[in-house]
Amino acid sequence: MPISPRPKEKSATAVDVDALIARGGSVASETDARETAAGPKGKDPTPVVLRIPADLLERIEGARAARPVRIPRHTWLLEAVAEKLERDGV
Amino acid sequence: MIVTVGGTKGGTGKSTVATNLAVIRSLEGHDVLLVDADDQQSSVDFTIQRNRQFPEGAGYTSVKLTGPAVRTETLRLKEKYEDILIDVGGRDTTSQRAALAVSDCLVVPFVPRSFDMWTIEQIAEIVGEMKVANPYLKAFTFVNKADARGQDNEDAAEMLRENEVFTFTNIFIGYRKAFGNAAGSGLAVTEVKPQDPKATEEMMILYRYLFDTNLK
Repeated sequence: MPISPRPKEKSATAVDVDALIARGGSVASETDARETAAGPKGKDPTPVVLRIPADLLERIEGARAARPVRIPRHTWLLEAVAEKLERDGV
Repeated sequence: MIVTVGGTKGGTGKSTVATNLAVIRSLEGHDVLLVDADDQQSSVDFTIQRNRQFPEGAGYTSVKLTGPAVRTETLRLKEKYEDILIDVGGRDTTSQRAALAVSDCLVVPFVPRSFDMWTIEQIAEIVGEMKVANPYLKAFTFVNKADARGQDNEDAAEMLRENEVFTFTNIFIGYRKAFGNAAGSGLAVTEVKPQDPKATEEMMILYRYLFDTNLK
């Protein structure tokens, strides 16, 4: 067809909002979210920020102190997670 | 109404303002959503503290959102709430831009100091860009952490008046300990005992400007 229709200008509603948003910098938690969604990189542990209420933390510290051999809090938490996963059959 | 408390400078009191506005709005009987879009999570921490103070609940709903989800989730939730307040971090982030893409109004606190005032051009540029996506966005400034005396408040106000992207509200909120003390207890400055009448009055002036003057 030798005659083509007149090209239309991009309308205001067709503005690429995502591109405008993407011009902003990323935030720390976005990186974490991406890593979590894609799974951990290789076999490296993925850092997770945990917010524990003070009273719960106190109970954890009590449980750690009661053990004959003291273990790091991090290890105790990993053990607890592993126990729950095992119990739930995950 | 969807209100973002934003800006590209940290430490200007954005979270304090956002949490105070959310509490005051909810206490006036409105169904409020407070969106924490700042990776520092001050608004989330405030809400955790408030939930400890009030076992029956903070009085509003709080969620944490990041990046483009600030826009998509807020759009999804806006029919469920009368008012949404979005607290963003003090940088040019995808979260802040996503908030501006969906907000009715942006309010930016400016501390009357040179480093703070120098950021007005940057946030004005961001607002200009985001108005392409959201032509109805209204942008306001006020002086926060104002000095008790001296010329700096008025100098800052003059600079804010000169900016064409923002409307300067003529509101000055003083640098008062009551704000920090209240926030640490999960309270709005209007709730803390003993009352700081000046702090309460100044926060209420901002609140009324935003919610009672039909900005939408």
